[in-house]
Amino acid sequence: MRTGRSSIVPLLTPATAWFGLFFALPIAAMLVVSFWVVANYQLVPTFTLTNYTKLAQPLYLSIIVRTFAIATIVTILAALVGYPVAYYLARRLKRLRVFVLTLIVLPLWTSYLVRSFAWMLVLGTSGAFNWFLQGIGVTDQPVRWFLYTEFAVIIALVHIYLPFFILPVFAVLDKLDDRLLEASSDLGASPWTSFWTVTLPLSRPGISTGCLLVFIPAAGSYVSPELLGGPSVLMIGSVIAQQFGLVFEYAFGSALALTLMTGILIVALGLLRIGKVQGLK
Amino acid sequence: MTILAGKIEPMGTMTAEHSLIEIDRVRKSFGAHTAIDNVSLALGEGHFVTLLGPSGCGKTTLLRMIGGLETPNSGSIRIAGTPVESFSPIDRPTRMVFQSYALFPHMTVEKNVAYGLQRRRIPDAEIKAKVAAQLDVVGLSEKAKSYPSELSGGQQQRVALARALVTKPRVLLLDEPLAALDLKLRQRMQAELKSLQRSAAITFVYVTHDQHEALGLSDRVVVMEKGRVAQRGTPAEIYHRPANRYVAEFVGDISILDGTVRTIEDGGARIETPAGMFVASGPTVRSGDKVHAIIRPESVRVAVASGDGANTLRATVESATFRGADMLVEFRGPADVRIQTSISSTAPEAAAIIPGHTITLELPATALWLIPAERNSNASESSP
Repeated sequence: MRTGRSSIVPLLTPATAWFGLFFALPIAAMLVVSFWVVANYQLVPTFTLTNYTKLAQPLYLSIIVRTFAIATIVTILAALVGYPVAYYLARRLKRLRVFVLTLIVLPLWTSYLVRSFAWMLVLGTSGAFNWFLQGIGVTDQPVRWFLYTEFAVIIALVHIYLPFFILPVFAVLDKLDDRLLEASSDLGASPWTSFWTVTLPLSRPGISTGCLLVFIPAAGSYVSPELLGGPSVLMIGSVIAQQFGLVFEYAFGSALALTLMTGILIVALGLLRIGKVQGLK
Repeated sequence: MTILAGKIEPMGTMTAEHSLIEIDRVRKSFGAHTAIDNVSLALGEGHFVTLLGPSGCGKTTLLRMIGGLETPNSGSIRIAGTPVESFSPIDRPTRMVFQSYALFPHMTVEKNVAYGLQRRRIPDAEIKAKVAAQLDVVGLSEKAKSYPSELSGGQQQRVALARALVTKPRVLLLDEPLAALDLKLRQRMQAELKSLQRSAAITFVYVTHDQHEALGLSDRVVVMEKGRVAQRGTPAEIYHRPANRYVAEFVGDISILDGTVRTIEDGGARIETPAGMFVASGPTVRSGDKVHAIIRPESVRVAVASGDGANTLRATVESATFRGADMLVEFRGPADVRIQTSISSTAPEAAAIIPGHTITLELPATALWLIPAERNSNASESSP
């Protein structure tokens, strides 16, 4: 059966319209606005690059670098913690796997706002960490650097986005054909060698998807750095919110948002490339 | 009355002196399911041995135990005289070819074939030369840089063979390697496998549920049933001299005459059946034994003239099915005895095969084979 090209067009129309209205149009608007200026809280159409040159100022540059550095660290930590969990779940656990999977997904049912607040309670000077450390006598003064530091932001973001790494890796490892590992062992590979030569390369698509799903929201995160990082750990999401909501610098805000998007896009394309395994259909 | 089962000696016992693989009282169960029930078996060096049976008979489990992918619950497996249960696969002289090939999808053909050599700390240059030579043997030199997903089923099969053979195993274990191929390709690969086995002079242990494959490829066939060995022997022995009804029916069509042994003569046993007296050959039987006399369709002689010679019966044509090269004809004889024959579709007798006609059939004494009547029908009489 051959489907004519013309018959597909009406079927695609709703999707195209949706995409155009809620995605392409706003971005195009932001792109245009990012070259305008704001005077007296009013957008003034013009064409200037000042919004972009402003980004090169040390203040904003350091925020951009910090944002991508934190997102990268969060992604790497999520991968290091998440991969073994996904592996154990997919390759070792048999009867309890649905139960454990549910436990992993369960936190997603609560708001990430709540989860961020929870970390404040855990990391604060009178929080669980300090209570424990003082209890066993490691310190007698509460540790102050737990909260309102990069450490707090990173640990919370890893916790919040970890399920997004575990699930795609689990899906890939669950589908991995046992016979490939048997063949590897039959040909003389130790379990460790089999892991490095067969399991890990074949889980690359899942790892790449997982990294993508962690990196993107981590780079754009706003609530967690606001609550746990405080004013010293400013990330780009907070700055964008300030520009739109506090100082009404829509033009500069648009430039910031587009810069964040472009940065994420470059990382995403890189990750997708890494996730492509030659020979896999 | 005596117990019938167990009296019949296994045919074609393999000689133990030259056996490469010795399986001794091996048991294996998965939970409550017994996959292998006390199997002892000796497989000869350089033979093409087939483990034949329906799915669930334990043939694959037995193969995997030889290859070290499963561990027996009890019993021992020796290869070339050495017990191998505790050996990891790299120390075993066996290599496995998996049912769906299990090629590494992210590696090129070349890398797949090199995989086993790389695990053996062989210099790169030597690996390269060996891989190239092995790919040449299976005729895939131009595909060295291709990925498995770019190959046809037959080519993937050859890569799987090359990957195993390049490590120079003494025993190649093949788990239904042709099951995924279509008929034409399967037949071609059968011929290739056979010639590969001859030229490489290694022992093949081949698992299949396809009796044609088993009979056509093997030097020895081991027929398995519910985790036990039902019979082992050459393909001809298995086919013409089956030990029991299960084996007889698994490897081909049979017609059965139920009877009782009356006298033992030089030419065979004289048996009394509802369709008359017949002389049949068979293993040790005693007069009075209840037996099945079985015959393969192609062994039945169709004589148009009404003879009244020995081992003949008059039978009516029930149905005839044209199958191209031959015709499958169902006859009904005296006392509702059913006889199936196949005759060449070009034979002169073929013209006489008209449903409803009565014809004389001869069941030659050499082709009429005795097997014990099913045990359950004699169970009540078998008490000491």
